[in-house]
Amino acid sequence: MFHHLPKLLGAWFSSLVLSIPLATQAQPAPAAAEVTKERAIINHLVRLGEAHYQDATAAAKDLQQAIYEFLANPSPNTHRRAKLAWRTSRIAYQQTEAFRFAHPEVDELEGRVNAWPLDESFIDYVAKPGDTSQRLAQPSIIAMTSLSLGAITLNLKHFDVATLRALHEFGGNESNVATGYHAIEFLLWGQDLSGTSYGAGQRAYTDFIISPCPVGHCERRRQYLLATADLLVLDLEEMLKLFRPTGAVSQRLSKTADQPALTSILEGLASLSYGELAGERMQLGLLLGDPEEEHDCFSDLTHLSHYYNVIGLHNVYFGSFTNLAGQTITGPSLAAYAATMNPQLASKLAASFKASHASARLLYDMAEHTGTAAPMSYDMMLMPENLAGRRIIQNLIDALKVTTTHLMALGTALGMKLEPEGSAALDRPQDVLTTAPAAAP
Amino acid sequence: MHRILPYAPLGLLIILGHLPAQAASSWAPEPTAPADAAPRAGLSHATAGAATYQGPADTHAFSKPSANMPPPLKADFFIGDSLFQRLWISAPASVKHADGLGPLFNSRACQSCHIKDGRGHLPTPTDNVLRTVIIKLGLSEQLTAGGDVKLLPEPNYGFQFHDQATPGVAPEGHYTITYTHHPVPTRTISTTLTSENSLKLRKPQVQFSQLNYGPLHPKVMTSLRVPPPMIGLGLIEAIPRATIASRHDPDDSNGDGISGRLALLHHPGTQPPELGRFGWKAAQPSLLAQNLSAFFMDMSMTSQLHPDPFADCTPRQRACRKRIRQLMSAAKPDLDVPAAITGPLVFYTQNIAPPQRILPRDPSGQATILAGEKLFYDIGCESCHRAHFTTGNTHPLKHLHHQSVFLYSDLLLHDMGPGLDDGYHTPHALSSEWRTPPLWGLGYTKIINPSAGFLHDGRAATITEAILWHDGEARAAATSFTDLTVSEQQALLMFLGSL
Repeated sequence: MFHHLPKLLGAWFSSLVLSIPLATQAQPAPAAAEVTKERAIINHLVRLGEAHYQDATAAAKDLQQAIYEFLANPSPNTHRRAKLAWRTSRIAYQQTEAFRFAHPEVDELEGRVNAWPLDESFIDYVAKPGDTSQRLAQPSIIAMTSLSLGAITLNLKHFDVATLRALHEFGGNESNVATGYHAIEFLLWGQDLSGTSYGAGQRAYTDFIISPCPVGHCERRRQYLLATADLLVLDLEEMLKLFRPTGAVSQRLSKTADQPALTSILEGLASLSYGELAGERMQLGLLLGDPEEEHDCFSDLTHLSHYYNVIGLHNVYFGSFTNLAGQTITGPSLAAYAATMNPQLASKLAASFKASHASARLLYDMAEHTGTAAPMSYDMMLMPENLAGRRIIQNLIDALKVTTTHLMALGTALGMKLEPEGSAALDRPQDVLTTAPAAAP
Repeated sequence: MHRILPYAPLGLLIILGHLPAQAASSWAPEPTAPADAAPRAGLSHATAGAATYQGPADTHAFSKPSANMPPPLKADFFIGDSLFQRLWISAPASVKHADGLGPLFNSRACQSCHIKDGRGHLPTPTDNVLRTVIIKLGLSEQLTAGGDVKLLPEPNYGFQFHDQATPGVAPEGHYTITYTHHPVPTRTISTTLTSENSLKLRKPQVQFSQLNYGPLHPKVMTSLRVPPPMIGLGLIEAIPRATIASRHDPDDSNGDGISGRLALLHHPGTQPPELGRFGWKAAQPSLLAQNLSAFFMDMSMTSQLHPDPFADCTPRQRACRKRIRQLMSAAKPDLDVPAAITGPLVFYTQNIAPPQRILPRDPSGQATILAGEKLFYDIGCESCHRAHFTTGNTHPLKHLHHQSVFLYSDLLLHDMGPGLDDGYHTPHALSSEWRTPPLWGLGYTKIINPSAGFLHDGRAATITEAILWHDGEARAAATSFTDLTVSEQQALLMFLGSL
């Protein structure tokens, strides 16, 4: 499944501290009061969340390490290894998103880590529109030593974690301050100028060589990359802490009754499945017909992001997770619970999860060029005239919609009222392929 | 001049441009129905007929689709919601449909100011960078012929003050808000209102600082505006012009002291003039116009109605113009907001449902609400805050037709006197004239945004303060309010809070 596990796993393994037992084991009966079936699932999902964020943090540390090595010795190889480490870190992070919407504490930090779309010309140079062989002469924060935000002028003479945090604190999420995975992605890959043909951003490793520096500001670009990588690790550690036994998520859930706790967990699944992934990240792109209306537009790894979102949904529902090191954790699951409460619905849900996995896998394989068909990256699938490509995306959207509908039904069967994000778009029979996106006038 | 675009909501919306022509012939002051035939809300939960949102009164209550929206359209609502929340970014960017912001701007996202689709607020101590308010600028030019008055841009800063800019371009400057305090009318002292310890009549004033493009013109007019809530706007669009015109009475010929008038927008080439329905001064005739104007003025993003690439960058703002010219010389500029975005966004703003009323379950509480409603009529609030409309049958969105809506606004302009006169006039409204703001959803205001204030500049922290600020034509009603007994005042406030 992990085609491109970087060879740099040494650093990653060394940073992986197994503070929780990952091997499958039976839950020992608690000494105190009897634990309800529902509570056992909730407790297990907190452990599962901890394992997810632990994996994401470890992979981010691995990315940080690869970036250190790249900057210490910029070369095509160290550059490539940094990009592979980014890719691996996304495998881990995208699975964590199945926990994001269930727990507002996580969602609050999300903007720092995974903000999109990215204001790339705010960060660094971009190509001149119309003549991509040239750079647009436009100041960016890498090129400037100070930045005015409202009444406040920030000193940007040196980028470090504190500078980026300050930027964030002054502007908040709304200022679209450029940190997180997509900022690192842009710094490593650069703009995807391959248009509608197969290919991602082609930033040269020489952008990070201090002398000679063909594109200018290489020292500052290095500082920026380093600081965003460091910050990503810190932010993920903060997310991980939420799922530790003393963390805010664990504490809140321990004080929440079973029914509302399970409601928010199911809502979280439905929100990622429908509102975020099917709606915001896929349907919107189809509707707008913009090839770069994709989640990972610099690296062209959107298919990977989507695929591992789907895997994350599976993990939460089936109560199981396999980390990058191949260790598996399982426990009391929503799936098993559903099977005892409403077997018919449970089998429908299992079938729909299987279908969404198959659709996501097809999208992934097309983009990865694993088969014999011509490769088709996600941005190519989005092209208005690429009906076959759009169908691949639409199939995944439709599968996720079915899953969401069944999740809602499960909630109802269990006496809950789910209000997931983007539920407004449920039950939409209209096929977006029949609605040609409007051309710009 | 418009072609029908393949995107259905937009294509249909453009047809709406012809609506005024159909309705115009009947806007003479002849009521379509006798005033006393209009229903009262009573204890009904439905504020907006079948469109009313019936979910819980929580922080998301202003972001729900019309309850009677056909399911196939719900995806458009959701896409529009995404766009309403989208953080626009500076051009050029890889995600073409997300770029075009600036160089000068106030906000990156619609939702940043329309907090959870509700009101914005005057800057709080934590709003040190991004504000949810805007400041309109302008110069007045008296034209002798016909005594017409024109609104000109401030020579250095244009029509709006932009305290944000993309990197490398200086923002226009900064401002702080100071307050002048005004005495609370003595009559209110003897009433329950004194128990509202925080009752203050404060008027915000803008103090500009760090002006980066030279001084402001000595005769500059400024107007501080908070964003209004977004609920029920499509229903407002669907109210027949003739029904609104039934209360048009500019010369107070019926002698009730109220002289509301239609906000007729005299744009060259539109005959008859379009009717302004949206905005604090009813300056915009449709949600398409309102949305695209906000894109243009607040974010400097171009669109079919506002193609000027320089937006509000004045010729004297050289750095801003230079940046735009650079982008234009690099490539033929597209519109920042193409039809693919306009369609779902307009659709979204047409379909945010007014939420159901918040009503008590106990009989005594319900009796209080009914008593408060009666007082609302008796002391004259309803003369401008017109309770009821029935939407027409010409709006392109059929599910908005024939809905019984409790809007509590006549959608007319009224002279609110010196108390609310901020000295800023538009081509179509005097500086003391304001469109009656709808009161539906009023009880949700602080649930949606706890910092929200009332009135055009958010000066009133409570509904009571807002009432006390009423001046001009509304003075008599405000005075009647202070004359009420303690329990009557409470009943009226409870009624307003139930909306």
